[in-house]
Amino acid sequence: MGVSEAHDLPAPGWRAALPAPDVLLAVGLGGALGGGVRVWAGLLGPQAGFPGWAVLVAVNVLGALAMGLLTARGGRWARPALTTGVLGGFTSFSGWVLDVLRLVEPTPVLALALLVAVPVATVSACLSGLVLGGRRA
Amino acid sequence: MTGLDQGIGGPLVATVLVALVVGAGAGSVLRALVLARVGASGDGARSLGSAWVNVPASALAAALLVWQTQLRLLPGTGSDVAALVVVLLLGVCGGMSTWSTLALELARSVLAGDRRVLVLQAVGTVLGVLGGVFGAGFAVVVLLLLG
Repeated sequence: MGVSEAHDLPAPGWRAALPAPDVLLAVGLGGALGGGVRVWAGLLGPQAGFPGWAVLVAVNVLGALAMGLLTARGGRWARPALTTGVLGGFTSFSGWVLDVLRLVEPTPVLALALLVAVPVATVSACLSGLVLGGRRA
Repeated sequence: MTGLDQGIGGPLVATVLVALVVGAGAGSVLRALVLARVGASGDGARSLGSAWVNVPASALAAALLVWQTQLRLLPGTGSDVAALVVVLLLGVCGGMSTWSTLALELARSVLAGDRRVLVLQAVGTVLGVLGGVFGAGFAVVVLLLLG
């Protein structure tokens, strides 16, 4: 088999499953938008008197609710741009982990509350979104 | 956690904000690629779902935080280093990790009554994050001590 013939073979399964470049572009633009809004909220929240951890909790719960509502909607670009992009970039798991770690020493009770409450609140919000959106998974 | 109160000021702020947005977009693309790859894998890997992006992103974020904290103790560490850390921490790690996808995966498992996946993902994420965060933080401290 020549090199040109090998190039004509279909891609292996996992490569075929990778998103197309136009979909990745939509995800990237959506992620930039979602991440920008998260950073903007993180800047405005403390100015309005809300601690940074509270802003991120609100962002994550709101993002999970929106994910439940929007997960089954949209077309080729809109769906990945909105869900994987905007909502994925808007919410942040690593920020939550760091907030918990930062609060362990000064306020251990608050750190424990964040550790338990955020998973419960985000999953509950997402379930509510799925039910309200009328699309069960 | 804004991170922009970590020693960055002046004209650098605008540049950092743009870099944050670009970093969040890049992190999101990386997340989409990893999760697509995981989605095409076997059942075991797929069951862990978004843990494949949340664990490494959290470990990298912890390593960056420890690195930044240690560097602050050194004289002459400029605001450009702080800016780079903030961009990687809030932009790339924040964009790569996600609560919304994890919440959706867990909610779907709850609705489907799939306890196996629910437990596997919850336990896998917790153990992975614990190991990743403390392992990465410890590795950075050791590297800085050796360096």
